[in-house]
Amino acid sequence: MPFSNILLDGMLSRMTSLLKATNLTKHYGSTIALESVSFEVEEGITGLLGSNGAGKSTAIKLFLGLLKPTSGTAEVSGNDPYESVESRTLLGYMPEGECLPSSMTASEFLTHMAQISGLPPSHARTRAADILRHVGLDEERYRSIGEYSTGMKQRVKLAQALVHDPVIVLLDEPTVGLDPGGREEMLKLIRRTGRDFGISIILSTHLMGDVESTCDRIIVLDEGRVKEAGDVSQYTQETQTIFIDVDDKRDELIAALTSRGIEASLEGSSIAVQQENEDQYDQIRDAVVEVDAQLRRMAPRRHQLSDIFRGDQ
Amino acid sequence: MTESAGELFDLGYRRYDGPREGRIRARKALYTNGVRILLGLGRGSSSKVLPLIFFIVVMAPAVILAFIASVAEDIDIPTHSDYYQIVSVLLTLFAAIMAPELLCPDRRSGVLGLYLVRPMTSTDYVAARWLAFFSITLLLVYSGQILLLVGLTLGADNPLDYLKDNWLDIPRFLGAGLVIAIFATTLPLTVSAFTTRRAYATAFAIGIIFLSSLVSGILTECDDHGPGDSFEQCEPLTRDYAKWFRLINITGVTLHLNDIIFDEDDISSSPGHISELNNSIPIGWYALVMLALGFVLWWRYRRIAA
Amino acid sequence: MGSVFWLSLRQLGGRWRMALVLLLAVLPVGLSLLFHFLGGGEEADKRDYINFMLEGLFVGGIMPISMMALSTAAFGNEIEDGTLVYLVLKPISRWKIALHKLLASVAIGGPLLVISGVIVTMVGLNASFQPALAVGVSLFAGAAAYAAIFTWAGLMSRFAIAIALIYVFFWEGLVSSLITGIEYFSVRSYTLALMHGMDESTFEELSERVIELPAAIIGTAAVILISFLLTVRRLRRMDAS
Repeated sequence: MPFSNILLDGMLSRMTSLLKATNLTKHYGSTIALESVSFEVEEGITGLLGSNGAGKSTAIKLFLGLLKPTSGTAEVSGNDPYESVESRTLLGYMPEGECLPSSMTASEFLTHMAQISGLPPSHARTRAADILRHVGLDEERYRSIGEYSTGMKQRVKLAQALVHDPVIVLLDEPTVGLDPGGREEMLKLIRRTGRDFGISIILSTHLMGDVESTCDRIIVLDEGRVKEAGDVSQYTQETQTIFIDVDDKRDELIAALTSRGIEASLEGSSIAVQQENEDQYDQIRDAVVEVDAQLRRMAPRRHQLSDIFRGDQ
Repeated sequence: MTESAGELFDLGYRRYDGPREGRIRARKALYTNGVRILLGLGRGSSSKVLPLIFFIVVMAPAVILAFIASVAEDIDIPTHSDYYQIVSVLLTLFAAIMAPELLCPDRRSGVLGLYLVRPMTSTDYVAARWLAFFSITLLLVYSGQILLLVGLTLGADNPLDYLKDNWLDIPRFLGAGLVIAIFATTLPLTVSAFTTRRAYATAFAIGIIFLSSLVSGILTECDDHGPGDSFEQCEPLTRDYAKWFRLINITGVTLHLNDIIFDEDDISSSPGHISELNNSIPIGWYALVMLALGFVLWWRYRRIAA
Repeated sequence: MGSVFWLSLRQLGGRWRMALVLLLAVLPVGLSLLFHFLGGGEEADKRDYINFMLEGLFVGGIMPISMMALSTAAFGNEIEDGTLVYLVLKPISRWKIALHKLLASVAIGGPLLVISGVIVTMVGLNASFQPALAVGVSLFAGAAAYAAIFTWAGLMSRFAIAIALIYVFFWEGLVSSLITGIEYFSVRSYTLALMHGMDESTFEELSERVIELPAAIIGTAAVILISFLLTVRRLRRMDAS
């Protein structure tokens, strides 16, 4: 039994974290890229969000085994990718920059890359054809890559990361340089990869929109540290806030809400209520009637991921 | 009919459960890919022109030498050693032009970045590329030598006797071929590791070979047609140290190793010739230079990988 | 001067590359100093000097090699990167693009070769003005001629450098030494003839080998002009693709 299959079996049986960073630190000379970062990545689509220089690329390179950590560990299903080159068999990587040979056809290129990932030639050819069909490059696969549009090149880049059927792929800014239509297509493809193909994904991006529309979970990096980590829904649906605008009697209303066991606070000129269940609407109605306040507006507002960064400003 | 085709088309994503051969397959694939690039296989027909020209040009001297040997009776028959002397220039040219093809485009296009995140280290990469080029170079020089051997054997009055008398040439040309192929592979590949432009790599490699031989020539050559100067008396620019300055010319050192292997007496015994040095010195120097170049190549790619 | 010129100048003059070209220029100066202090300056040495340093090192080596590296890359880099299309799409006439590319590689290679060559001549041939001028002018003319040919070659073929090498080492180096008539079609011999023509007494050594001065002047001009026109023609034909 080949080594990688043992790895695969072990991985599937455990179903635990695919990637794990433990006190992961990387310094370049005096520059700190990552400082004692710990997180785990499970199955599904995980967004790695952060501005430029937040440490996303460094984290990816550490998991790919291209860099040696200054201290701490980066594990890929229990293996150190820097030490165990073979563990990369189950990783896929789509870099941000140019990485395609212009003189080859997409079909040739993918077959070659599948072999570099360890697949025997005949299997490599089948996989290349399959995966090109899945990313929507069926007709064009015998044209040389140099003639492709930006969007098509981006698909080839994704395809080469998937051609050897990895357990997890790391995508570095996959939507950069694409027009809105192309970006939506790419995100759709990524969602399909994560949901239908069952390949877990790390999506590194600085665009909040990408994460909101695509990811299950999110890790926010800021200046080399983990700022937030958790389910994306936790930052959107579940933490809905109801804003209540009244003309007067704000303090009374807050008191009335509090006496009903509802947490209410003043935010600007509005009263903010963290919604926990649907009954709260009735209770708020009762409270407003009780203090006889003039109700102007009552509306829920979804949290957005950008709220995470709002505290900074 | 159409429905079943549609069904086939709509087959969902299938996981790959076939064999995974890891690092060994990766190395093999990269090696094969390197050989194909050098031979221009799987690309346009224009890519095959240059390898073909080089093949013909490298074979030609073998054919000509064999022909001369069969026609001319009195003169010294050309030997396997002569063949390397003639072909070395062509081979260096071939190497300088083709070697950058293996390294430069991968870095220029960024494909190298994709290789190095797969089950493959920078050492695997460099080794696979080096071996691919080495194989082709070796194939080229051996083909010529075998052609010459066949020609000389068949052209001799008694082929069997010829083989009996000259069998030692076979291990010699095999050995000398290795020496020349290692040189022709290592130098241009190392130069190619420092630029992503093929043209610059070629020019730099040729420049290094040309300048090293010229500089060494200027420092050690002595004027053999000066008035009153007899050939033996003339003095090279660097006097007694001339034989050491010969070592600058790395192509010359490689060819001198060829002479050592074939046990040839040097025809030009002008003062300050490299043959005045003990054989172990040019041999050791050659080994040192090749190892140093190989190390630089390896080190350079380790740096790139990080 | 147009933007294509400055752009090309920047493309050709990378940090590493400039360091190497500089090294190429400094090396002969070092050698000439060595020659000067070890050789002693006799007649025989002067002849060696012309033979090895100027004819062998400069005209036969450094000049063609550095010009082929610079000039085949002038268009070669754009083709490799696929950016030639953008250049051709610019509202600049094709002959101007060709001219700027040519001037950029001459502007980088020419002065370095001339300065290095002049210093070498001054050191080796006892600081005289006329031979230095002869060397400077002829090296510049030769560099320009090579630049014109190789710029065109870089536009024509992916393997321009191979063609350039074969031209320099086989045609000019080997074939022209076997067949005398070829000297009339060789940039190397034009350069040597110019050198000899401008200072016959110093470069007497070359007199048996060089062609007539008018032929060299016409030849150099013709090579530059024809190569340039061929480059422009090729650029004009790129509309189709």
